Amino acid sequence: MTELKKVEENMVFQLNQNQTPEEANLMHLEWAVVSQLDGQKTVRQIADSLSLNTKEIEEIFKKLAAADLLVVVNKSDESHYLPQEFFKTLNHEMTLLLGPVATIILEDVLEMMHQHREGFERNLLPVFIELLINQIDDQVKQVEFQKRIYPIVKSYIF
Amino acid sequence: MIISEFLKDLTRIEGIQAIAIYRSDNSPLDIWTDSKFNKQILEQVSVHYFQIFSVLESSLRDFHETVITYGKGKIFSRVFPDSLLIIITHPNVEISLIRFIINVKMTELLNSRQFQKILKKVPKKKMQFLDNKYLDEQEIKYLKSVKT
Repeated sequence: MTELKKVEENMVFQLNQNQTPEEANLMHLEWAVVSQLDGQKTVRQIADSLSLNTKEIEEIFKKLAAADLLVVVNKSDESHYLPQEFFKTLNHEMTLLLGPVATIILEDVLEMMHQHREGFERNLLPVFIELLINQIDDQVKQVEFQKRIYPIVKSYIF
Repeated sequence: MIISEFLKDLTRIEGIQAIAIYRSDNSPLDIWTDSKFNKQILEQVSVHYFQIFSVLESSLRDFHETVITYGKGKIFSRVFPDSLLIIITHPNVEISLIRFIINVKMTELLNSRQFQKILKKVPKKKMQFLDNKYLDEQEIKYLKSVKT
């Protein structure tokens, strides 16, 4: 029996070839998830295609892991976390627009999110950007900031 | 056409099911859906959103955006001076990402010659679509109370 402590949305699994799902007494939705395990789709993609919410998909994956039906294909840290270079570029763009206060704003928002530049999860990027935007009072600067960082953020999202 | 040109990044997000832009008379300017999505749902949804934003406008409330979560996902909508944008997504899609893309890309779309050309063909009228035929007694009562 394998215990899966945390199911992350970007994790990729495939079916354990040494086990047979027939013996695991699976429910209908669990079978549906098993049928999607191709070693390429992420947990999130499977959840979306089956219209399952985070809690539902997490429970199913935990049950499948407990039945030893899963093999982790990819848990790539490199693609999971934002590189330091991103924060440097962001800080630079913000400083050009807002001046020296930019660094303080950046650190404040990271603190608000209980995050650090090191080990910042990529999937938190949209929320991080939104919080940064909300810290800019001037609406014209808000628009300008979003326009400037759009291509940078996009390259880390897609 | 305008969605795939200006809002292409939105269509690339996993879990976006439908994007629709309506002009202020509730006729569709452009609709994009993933292959499994039933387009007729959008028609029904858009009528309600015109109603919602009209009520908000009637009550002088400065709301331009709504996000509603339902069993199978989320409905994001934002009203612009001459149009309404509706996006239907799976539950896991991050609304802040949608908002960020829209903040940048809708401005480009709205200022584009292509969009301005489409709008020129539409008679300019204020967004006020509260058609009594869609309202039940409770809604009529509520609107009366808002106006007084």
